Amino acid sequence: MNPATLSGGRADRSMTWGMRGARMMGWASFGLAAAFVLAPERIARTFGLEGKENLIRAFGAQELLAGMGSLSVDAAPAMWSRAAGDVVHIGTLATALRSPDEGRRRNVAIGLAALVGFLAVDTVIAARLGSERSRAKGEQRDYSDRSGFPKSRSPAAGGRGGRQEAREGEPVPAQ
Amino acid sequence: MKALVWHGKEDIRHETVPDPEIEDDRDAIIKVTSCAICGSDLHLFHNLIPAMMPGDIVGHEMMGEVVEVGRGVSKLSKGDRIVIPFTINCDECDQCRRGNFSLCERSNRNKEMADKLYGHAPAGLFGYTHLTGGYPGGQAEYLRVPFADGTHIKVPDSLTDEQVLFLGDIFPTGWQAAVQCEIERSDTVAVWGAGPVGQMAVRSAIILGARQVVVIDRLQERLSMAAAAGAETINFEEESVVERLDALTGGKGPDKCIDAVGLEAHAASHIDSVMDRMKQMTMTANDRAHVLREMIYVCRGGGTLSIPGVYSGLIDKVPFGIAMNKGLTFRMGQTHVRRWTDDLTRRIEEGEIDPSFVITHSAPLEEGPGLYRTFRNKQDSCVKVVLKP
Repeated sequence: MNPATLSGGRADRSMTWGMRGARMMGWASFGLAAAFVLAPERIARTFGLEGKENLIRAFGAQELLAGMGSLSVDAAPAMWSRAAGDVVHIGTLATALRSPDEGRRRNVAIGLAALVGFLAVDTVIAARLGSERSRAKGEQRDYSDRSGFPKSRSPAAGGRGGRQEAREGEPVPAQ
Repeated sequence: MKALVWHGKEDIRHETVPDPEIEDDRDAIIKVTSCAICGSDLHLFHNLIPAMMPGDIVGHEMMGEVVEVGRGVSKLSKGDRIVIPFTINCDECDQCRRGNFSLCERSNRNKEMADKLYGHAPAGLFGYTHLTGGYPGGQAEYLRVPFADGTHIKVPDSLTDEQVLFLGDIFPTGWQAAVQCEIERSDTVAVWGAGPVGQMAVRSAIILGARQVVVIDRLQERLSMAAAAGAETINFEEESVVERLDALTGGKGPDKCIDAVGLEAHAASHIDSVMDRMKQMTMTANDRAHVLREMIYVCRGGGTLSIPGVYSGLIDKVPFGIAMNKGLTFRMGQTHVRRWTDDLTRRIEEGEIDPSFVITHSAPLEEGPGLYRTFRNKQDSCVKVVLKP
């Protein structure tokens, strides 16, 4: 709470849990991006993905973009792209399940479980954001009775009888 | 008191904050009776205007009753009913004397910072960025009005809050946009954006005698409101703006174009809008300038572009060569509110126009945070929100 604020309730906020979730996942993306870009060799060793260091770096770039998008005003498409990224990560990590090293297979299993969790969270948040922002179809109101002109006027725009009406070829004087 | 407080991107909260006090002899305090959410509040909501600080009270369309005046205030008394212009005016500097009230040279208390960014600082504004003074806004129960003698519009008791509230911003903003067009009776005026300022610009252009007014938007409810005043409408999601404007003007293009959209143009199927949106998402740009580019393209040679829509920073890919070769005139700026309000108040009193037509939602202040979302999402056919503290 800001020091100038005396009290405030969460119910009085404009942020929905979908928005807050997107922010949280956006910052998580930055953390993953940093790990993927700065320590791809270590990640490859941990999960038995040796030789795929450049792919891991590319995942880092993708996480960076997804993170920036998730923190933006248009977080829903970024969250869907995060979910798509999760699927690609799962597919890549699943290839390491064939590792002969039991320890690495355990790491992969833990990593896959985490990624599935991320996928579920990202999907729920993306869907939630979409529903929060959507407009109800077919329920647009008709405001054709709101002319704003209490006195009746002719249907054409020109010659409406306004006191300020200009004469032919003569600009309206500034006020 | 209760107020709507900015805490960051998309984060407006209804909170209890300290009551305002007289800080200078020229201050007054008003009890806010009505305030509104403005389209430019959404730019703050999206954190696209730099130099907002967590804890800032938002809101710059408000009116109320004077409850306290400083010793140096001579034109106001307790009990006066006033609308507050969103620009703070000292009434003494050279720009105020010229009627350039949005460029007041004394009211921006962060002038040094703004001078460095803008070259020369604009006026202080309520409920806006610290580059314009960081003054607490009026989406609150009470408001301190600096330079109170110059920063008010007295309104007749015979008119309701809803009729006069918009004298503080959107009505004079739409009016100034139309006046800047120097409309002639043969003119076609095209207005991009059928939001509140666009609606006021449509009606102002009609009052000022335009032969034809065309409004461009994608939301049917807003187009229906513009059509109610007599405007031709173009839904840019259903038809080509360029082709339809050509058809409506015999291939000449509109003589005058008004950008009532500004930096958050809708990212539709236009490739430049999509690119702008991506740049915003990746924090490499602030402004989505599709409307500006389209106006430059479609405007008749020798025409005028009037820009009441807010832009905040550097704009990419503006076809300035086209503008130069077509000899276009650009008019823009924050509104010199008080330059127009005597005339506009009289027009309301005489029944020529009733700006309350634009109000679609009215609610207690506490519902403000949710209504920011409703307004931003264009849900529930929302065009204009009025809040009652």
